[in-house]
Amino acid sequence: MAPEAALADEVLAACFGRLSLRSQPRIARVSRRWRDAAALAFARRLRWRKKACAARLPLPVRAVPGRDAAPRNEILNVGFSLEFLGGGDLVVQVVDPDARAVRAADGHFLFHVTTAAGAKVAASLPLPASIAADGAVDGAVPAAFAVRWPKDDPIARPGLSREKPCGEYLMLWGDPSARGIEVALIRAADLAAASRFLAAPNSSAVAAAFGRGGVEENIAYTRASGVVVACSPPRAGLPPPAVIVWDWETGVCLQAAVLDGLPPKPPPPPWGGEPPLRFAAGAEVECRVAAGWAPGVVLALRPDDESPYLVRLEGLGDCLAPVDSARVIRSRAGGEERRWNQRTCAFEVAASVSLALHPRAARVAVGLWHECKAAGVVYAVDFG
Amino acid sequence: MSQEGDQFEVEVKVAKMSELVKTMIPEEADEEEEAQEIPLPNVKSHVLAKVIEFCRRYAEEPMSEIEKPLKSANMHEVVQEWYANYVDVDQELLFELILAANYMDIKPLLDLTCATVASMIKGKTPEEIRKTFNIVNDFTPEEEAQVREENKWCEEA
Repeated sequence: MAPEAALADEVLAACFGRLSLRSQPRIARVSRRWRDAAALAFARRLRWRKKACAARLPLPVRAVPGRDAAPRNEILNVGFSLEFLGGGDLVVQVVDPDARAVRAADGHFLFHVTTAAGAKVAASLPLPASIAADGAVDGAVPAAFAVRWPKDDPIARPGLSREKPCGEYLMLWGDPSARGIEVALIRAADLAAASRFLAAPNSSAVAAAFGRGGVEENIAYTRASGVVVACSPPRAGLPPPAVIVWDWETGVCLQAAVLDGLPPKPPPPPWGGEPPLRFAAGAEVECRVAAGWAPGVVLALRPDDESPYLVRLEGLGDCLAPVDSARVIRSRAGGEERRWNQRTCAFEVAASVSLALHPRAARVAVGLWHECKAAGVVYAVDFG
Repeated sequence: MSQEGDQFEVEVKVAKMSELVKTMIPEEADEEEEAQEIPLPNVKSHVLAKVIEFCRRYAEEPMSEIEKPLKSANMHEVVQEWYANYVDVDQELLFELILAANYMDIKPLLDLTCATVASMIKGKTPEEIRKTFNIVNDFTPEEEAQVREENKWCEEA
C-alpha cells in the first residue's frame, strides 16, 4: 500500500492546498482518490466554475427609469454603491461621485503618483478615530508613510491607469487586451503591493460584451473571496451583464458567463471625427438650470462653435446648452439617457455599474444605475 | 507517553505547542511543577521523538512562514536549512509525521510536512506523481478522458 493511503482525504487535501490552482488538473488525473481530494482542496475557488444565474432584486427605490423617486434638485450627480456587510446583507448606498477627491480604503487615505523617472510613489495617511466639531483629533494620529516602486516594477507600469478602492486595498488596472488585463492591488495599511495578469476568457460572446466598453468601474476584489470579478458595461434596458471571475492567485479565468443574450452588433458608424449629438432639432428635453430642471425644446444643433444645442425653455426663453451631457440636458420622457461610446462609435445607455462580492458565498451583486436619475436595477449573480 | 509506552520528558513550553497536549495540562502548570504523564496512544516512539525534536527547535528558532502557493519544489528555498533537513526523510516517516501533527494538532509541523508533500508534487506530470508515491492509476479510460476534459479550462489558461 502506498504510504499516502494512510492519510485522510482532508489531510491529503491540505497538502494539495499548498499548491497553486494550476496544479489541480494534474493532481486530479493521478487516481480517483486524488481527484476527490483535489476537488476538496480547491473547492472554495472551483465553486466559481459552476453555472452562473442572475436574479433581479427588488429595490426600495423605483427600479425603472423615472424622476419622481427623489426631489428634482437632489437627483443631480447621484451615484450608487453596493456593499455586502459581514453577515451577508446587501447595502445600497447613495453616493456623490463628484465629491471623491482622494481614495479612502480601510481607514486610510491613499495617494500615488508616477514620477518623471517613471517610478511610482504611494503614500498612506492613516485616519484618526474621530474629529471633533472644533477640529480637535481624538487620540494620536498615526504617522503617514510612503513607498517607492522603481520604473521596472510591475506596480509602476504606466498602463495601470484606472483605480478604485476595494476594501482594504486600492485596485489599479489597465486597458484590457486580447490576452487579458493587468491588475495591481496596494494594501492601504502597509502599502504592500502585488500585480497579476488576468487571462482573457476563452469566450467570444463574453469578449464581445466587454468590447462594448471595456473595464471601467465594473471590477471588484475581496481578500475573503480570493477572486477578481468584472462585469460588462450596461446595455439598454439594463439586462444582467456578462460576468468574468478570475482567481487572483493564479490569474486563471474561472468563469465567463453571458447572463443575457447580446443584441446584434450595431452597424459601423457612417461618420468620422466628432461624436454625433444625442438629440435632434425639435426633441423635447429638460435642461439643468439654477432652480433644477426646466422643460424645453431643441431649436438648433451646433448654433455656434462651442455649444451643441440652442434650447427654448418654457418660461425662461432661449439658452445654449454648453455640453452634450445628461448632467446638463436630458430627454423629457421617462426613457434612458444615451452616451456616445468612443470604442464602438455607437450610442449606448448612460448608466454606471457597481459590484460587490459576498463575504462567504460564490455570489456577486451587480448594480446598474441610470446617470442623473434615482433609478436602476440590482442583480444577484449566483454560481452553482 | 508513546504507543509503545516509551516516556519522553519535555518542557511545558515545548509540550504546549501541541493543542491536544495543551488541553491535558492544567493552565497554571509551569516548569517547577511535578512531571505529568500524557498518553499519546496513536503516536509511535520514533515518530514522537521526531515530533519533539521539531517542537524543541521551533521553541528556539521559529520556522519562517511557508508561502502559499508553494514557490519552489526545493524545501531548502522554502524554509530555513534546519527545517528543510528535518523533513528530508523517507516517505513512510513523512506521512507518519503528518498523521502525528494532525492528531496532536501542531500547526507549524503540519504546515511543514504538508508543504513537503506538495513540493514532491509540484511541477510533476500525473505519471511522475504516481511513480513518486507508488500510486496505482485506478481510472477507467473513460473516466480518465472525462477528468482530462473537466480540467481542460485550467490547463489551457
